[in-house]
Amino acid sequence: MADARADIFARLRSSLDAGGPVDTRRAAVASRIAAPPRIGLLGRVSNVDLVATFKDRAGELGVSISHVVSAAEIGDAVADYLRSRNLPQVVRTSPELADVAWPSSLTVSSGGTDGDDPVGVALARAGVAETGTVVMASGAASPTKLNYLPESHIVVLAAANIVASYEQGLDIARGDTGDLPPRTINWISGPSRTADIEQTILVGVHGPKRIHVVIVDHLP
Amino acid sequence: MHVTTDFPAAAKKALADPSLQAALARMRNGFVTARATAVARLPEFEDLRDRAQAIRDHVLQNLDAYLERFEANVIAAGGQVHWCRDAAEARQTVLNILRQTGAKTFAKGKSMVGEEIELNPYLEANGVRPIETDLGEYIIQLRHETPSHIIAPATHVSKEQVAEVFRAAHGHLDVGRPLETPDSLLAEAREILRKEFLSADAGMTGANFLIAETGTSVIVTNEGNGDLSQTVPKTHIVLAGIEKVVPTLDDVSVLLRVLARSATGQEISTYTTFSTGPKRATDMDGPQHYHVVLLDNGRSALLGGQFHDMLRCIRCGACLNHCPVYGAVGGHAYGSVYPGPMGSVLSPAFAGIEAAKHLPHASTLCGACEAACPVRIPLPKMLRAWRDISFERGLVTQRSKLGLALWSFAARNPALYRMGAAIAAKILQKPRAILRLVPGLSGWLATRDFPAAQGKTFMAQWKAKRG
Ligand code: SF4
Repeated sequence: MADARADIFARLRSSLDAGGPVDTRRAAVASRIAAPPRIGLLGRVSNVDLVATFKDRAGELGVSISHVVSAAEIGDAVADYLRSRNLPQVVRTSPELADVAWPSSLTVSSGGTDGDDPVGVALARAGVAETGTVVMASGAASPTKLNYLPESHIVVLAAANIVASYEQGLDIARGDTGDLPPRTINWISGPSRTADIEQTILVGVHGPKRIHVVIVDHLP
Repeated sequence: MHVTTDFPAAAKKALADPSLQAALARMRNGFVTARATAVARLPEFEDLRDRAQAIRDHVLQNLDAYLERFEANVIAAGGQVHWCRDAAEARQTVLNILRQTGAKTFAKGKSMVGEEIELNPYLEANGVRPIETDLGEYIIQLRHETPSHIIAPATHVSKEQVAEVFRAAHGHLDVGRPLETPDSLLAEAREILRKEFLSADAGMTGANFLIAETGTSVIVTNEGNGDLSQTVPKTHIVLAGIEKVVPTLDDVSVLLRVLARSATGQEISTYTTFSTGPKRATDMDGPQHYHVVLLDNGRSALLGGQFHDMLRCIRCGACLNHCPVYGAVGGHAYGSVYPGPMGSVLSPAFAGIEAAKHLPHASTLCGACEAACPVRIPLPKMLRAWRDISFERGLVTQRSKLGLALWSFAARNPALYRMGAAIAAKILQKPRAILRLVPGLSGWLATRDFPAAQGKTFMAQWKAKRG
């Protein structure tokens, strides 16, 4: 469809060229992308305790939270949450969490998922206080499907990675991949939901029915 | 794209449909109140609208250069870009990609462009089974309908009707199972569609935005269906209009702040997903192939002309939610996949003013749409421009032209308009003979039969129902 491409660009240029040559536009695009104008922080996340704000917002979205001090407490926090909800003590964890010391009450396996795992545990890249959103990213030790297929999703989030804004969350998620972001970046704001049947909000359509975030003050 | 109905006749029918009227009442209350609440919570909202508009304007002024940049970055990330002049080319392109990969089943996330190009019937005719995975789209696919709302496609359907179509479609399940509650319907849909996700050969999503900086496509959903559609199957096809590009991740962040609030009144939708190319060699999952199918289909012709500003549209649906005409008659009366004010501007552009000649008149020009539009598109102004074009081409008769002129004069003064419309609505209940004595008005009435059935103006009804 090389012809289609040429035709479409010719059509666009037949009106855009009235404003000047395409090279001027290419230069405008290059400079805009090189230095995007970043907006200031919203009032709701300026000069506030970001962890507390994140908790408030996430709570509004129907996310439950536990807050622990050290990585050594993650395993118990997960087990306690599952017990409190009467959920199976069987978890599939992202390989990024391989070093976590899981309590013996939990049956733990590590890796991706094809949909048979009731509980997925994954590591967030960031948390965004603005809306209580967690930011996940795909990678060599970070399967995307683990965020969607299990009925229960548990997200481990370092307190240090709770930032104010979407932009800051994306900065962290892009990490050191340079120009190329991870294949998939997922912002997740509460459990899967729909209002497609008579505008009634129902939770747990295709993705997880519940989300629990474990905030960790000191995550190595 | 086709426009299939005669709006005045379809509107009349819609007003007499009690099940539709109940559904519309739910919709009006839900979305309008939720948006107002979300906006009230964000003092920066008006400033963000200005920025959102500026971003979209900047892109449109440099659209060719942004598309070049987007394309180069998709390719750099290992994906492919396909350019399609019209709907037929886009359908063919999607089918070719599916054939290359031997795909027989196709899990689809919600895509208005998919509706615009009427993709499903074409794929079915060519041996591919498309499965709509958004719950609303799935319901209307089973009912062989088009969406009645751009973000809530099944908003016209009652839960009883959902149960009925599930019983018909899911014949292998126990006939005695209870399906009275929305929860039971949801559980059934989840189970059925989960199997489809896991076995689909290819997946498709639309794109809320395309990011030039990184070659990324962005989707926003609440269900997670778009994520499963693109993460589980081995091929991910993105179908999008050429106007969807934005400069950077920072710009998308601004637009996302106004999108969900304007659309559903949520602070943010549940899932916002950024997809760049196919899975990387070391990634644990993700699609092996990533294709972006870019559609023109009349968009380039709008650039620089009197409907240029329409290309800013981010398809949030706020103009539908706030439109008293949409709220009274619903989406199907418009006979186009794009209903409401945005649709009444786009449909004549995409399908021709001859086919869509009624749609620019399917508005009271009250301005509620423009007031709610996150990118401040002057929808009433453009509806008037289409009216002028339809007069010039002789598509609207002299009589109705006079009537409409009178009406639009009154519409420019809201107080006068409300008074005039209320009077007209009252008059309408009286014998038509009297009206013939009023010069100009009879022509207007000839094309304005539908308010007569109600005896109240759209604005008054709308206020009463919201109150
Ligand atoms: S015209 Fe404005 S309000 Fe309507 S769908 Fe587009 S962006 Fe939303």
